Order: sequence, then structure tokens, then C-alpha cells
Amino acid sequence: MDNNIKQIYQTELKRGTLILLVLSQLNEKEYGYSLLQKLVDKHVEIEAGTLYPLMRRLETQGVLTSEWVTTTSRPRKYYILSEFGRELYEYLKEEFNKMTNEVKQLVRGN
Amino acid sequence: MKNLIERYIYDVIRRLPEDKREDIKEELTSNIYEMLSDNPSEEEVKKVLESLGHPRILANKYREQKRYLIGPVWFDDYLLVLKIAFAVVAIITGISSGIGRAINPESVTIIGILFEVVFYTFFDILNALLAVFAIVTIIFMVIERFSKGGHHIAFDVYKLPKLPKAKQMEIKRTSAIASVIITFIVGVVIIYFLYTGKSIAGYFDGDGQFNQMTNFLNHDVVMSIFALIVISIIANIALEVVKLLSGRWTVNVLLVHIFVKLLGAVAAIIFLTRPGMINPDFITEMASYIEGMSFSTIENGFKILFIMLCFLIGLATVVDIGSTTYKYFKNEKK
Repeated sequence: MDNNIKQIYQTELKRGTLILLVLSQLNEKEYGYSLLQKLVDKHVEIEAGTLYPLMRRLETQGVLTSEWVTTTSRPRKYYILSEFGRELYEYLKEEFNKMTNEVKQLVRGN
Repeated sequence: MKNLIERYIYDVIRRLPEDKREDIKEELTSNIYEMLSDNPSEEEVKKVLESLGHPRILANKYREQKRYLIGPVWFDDYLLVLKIAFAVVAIITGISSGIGRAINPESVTIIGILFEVVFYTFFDILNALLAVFAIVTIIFMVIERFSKGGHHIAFDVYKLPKLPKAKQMEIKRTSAIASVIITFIVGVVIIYFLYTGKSIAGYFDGDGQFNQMTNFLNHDVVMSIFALIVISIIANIALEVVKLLSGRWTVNVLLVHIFVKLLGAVAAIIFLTRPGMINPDFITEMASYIEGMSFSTIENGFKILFIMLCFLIGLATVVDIGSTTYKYFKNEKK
């Protein structure tokens, strides 16, 4: 039961940074599965069933733009940061750095 | 194998808005095939599909906003209203249906009637509860829709309910429910007898034959103020519902209480002082049974009785309003 609670808070802690991690990998165009592999290779725990809908949502919000590429053997839908997406990424990055510094100070204080 | 993938995708997109289905289908298909090797085994397909999770959950993630019939913000109120409505309706239906079935049974044997009453009453209650469930649910669905989950309800701190100042200010839920039910039943019985003008008084003669007595009240005169009586009864039921919902005495509840009790007293006094309220045929009939009493003696007797009743009702109402108000302000000060 203790481990269960640990798990819950660990997931909660990671959830906030997920968007930042996804955005960080989208300076170059990626399709769903390639992005998933890139993230998994870098030890980001994310499931396909979470990432694919997330990419769509970011697109509807104008953070990502997409295009279908049909020259490959299979058609792929590629996503890349939009102008607004890059802006958002820089902003979140800054916020994250500020926040981690503050958190580190607080946590170290104890 | 291909079939499995198509079935999985179909099970996801059929839960999504129509205009998004085609797009999501294409993207999901593309992604699933990317996750597979060129000539995947069935086992491999199974693994990939399982890694995407249950179609219902995946579809839910594709949906842009969470959807609720009744969201967590309203759910407590929904349950509370449902419980109270169930209790009130079950008891009212149980009693009215039980009596109705018992008065007019189709069976002739005692066992048959007993069965009939129990079973029909049971199903009447069940039906009523289903209807209540549907109505309450629909009302809360509408509230949910219009409040958009309740997260953006403008809220005024000054309108927060005051803390109950004393135990006496509380209105117990069980007794409030009982009051609603009793008021309802008494009200329905009064309305029924006044409206149909049926006399229940009578006597059995020597042969066991039931002789109904002539109506005590003059039906035409009763009907002339019938609306006022119905309004007063409805107001009384509403008052008990208000008390039940409020759960405690407040100034508003007190004002409603005073208003409704005054209305009831006025209605009763108008009823009793209405000229010609007593059926002249009844008085004639009564005079014929009782020796030494003329029509006018009996008529005057009833008039005096009615006026005394008026005074009693007036007195009781004044005492009730006075003591309720006094109690309220005494407890309010604490």
C-alpha cells in the first residue's frame, strides 16, 4: 500500500514535465511512433496510448503543426513545433528552470 | 491479423465525434503499423494493441474534454436529493397505492386481496421510484450542463449558509420527511372528500345494509372556495418541503412558516363562516331524527360551533406563530 502511494505521487510529479519533454523533441519533425521511441530511448516513461492523443491535442491548440507524408512506404503524419510552439517551449523551459532552482533550494534546506 | 488491427481501431473511433473519426483512424493505423515489424506475427500484433490500452480509455484520451452526466462537483447533492425524493415518494406511493388497492380489490378471497395489495403496491412503488430517479437525474444533468462542471460558478462569500447557532435551530431530516408525507396524505384526503362531495358518515341498519347519510356540507358552497383550500394545502406541503430542504430554521423559513400558517387559518375561517356551508337537507334530516329540535335550533347550534372553531383556529395559529417566532429569536441570540 505504501508503494502504491509512492507510485501515485511519483506519477503526479512527472506528469507536469511531460509536455516540456515532448516539446523538447519536436524541433525536428516526428511522427507518433518515432517520437515515442526517441522519448523511450531517453528514459521518459510514456505510453503510446497517452502520447498519440497528446500530439493531436497539441495540434488543435496550435502548438504543433502536422503534415501527411506519403512518399514513404506507409503514409506518416509528421508533427513539428509551430511558431507558437517554439515560443511556448522557451517559456516553459524558463519556468521549469526557475522552478527547479526554487525547489532545490527548499528541498536542500531540510 | 490485419482484421485485429481494424477491429481495435474501429472500437476506438466509434466512441469519438464523427468528424474526427477518419483522421484519427488514419493516424492510428499508420502509428500501429510503424510499431510492427514488416511481417508481424499475431502475437506481436496482440502485444502492440495491448500496449495502446483499452479502446475505451484510448478514445477517452482522444476526446478533448471530459464528459459527465453528473460530475463530481454536483454528485453529493444529486445523491442527497435522490435519497430524500426516494424516501418521500416510496412512502407516499406505498400508502396511497396500498389503500387504493385495498379499497378496490379484484380478488374475492382474503389471501388473494393480500397478494394483490402487496404485489401491486410493490410494483407501484418501483414504478414511482424509477420515475423519480429519471426526473432527478435529468434535473441534475441540466444543472451540470449549465454550470459546466461547477468550476466557474460565481460565488458570493456572504451567501454562505450561517452556522447553526443552536441545536434547536436544526430541523431533523426524519421528522421533516414525516411532515411532508403526513401533510401530503391529509391534504389529498381533504381535497378528495371536498371535491367529490362524498359523505363517509352513515350507519348500518338491522339488515346489515349501509345507509349513507346526506352530505353534511353544501357542495356548491364548498366548490366556491375550493381553489383557496387547494392553494392553502399546497402551500402547507411546500412549507414542509422548504423545511426539509433547508434543514434548519432561518429567517426565510420562519417567514414562509408564518405566511403559510396565516393563509391556512384564513382559508379555514372563510370556509367555516361561509353562509349556507351546511347542507339544509342534512339539517332537515337531523331534525327528523332528533325529537324536540327544530331546523333553526340545529342550524344555530352549528353556527355557534363553527364560530367557536374559528376562534380556536385563530388562537392556535396565533400561539403557533408566536411561539415559533419566540423560539427562533431566543435561539438566534445564543
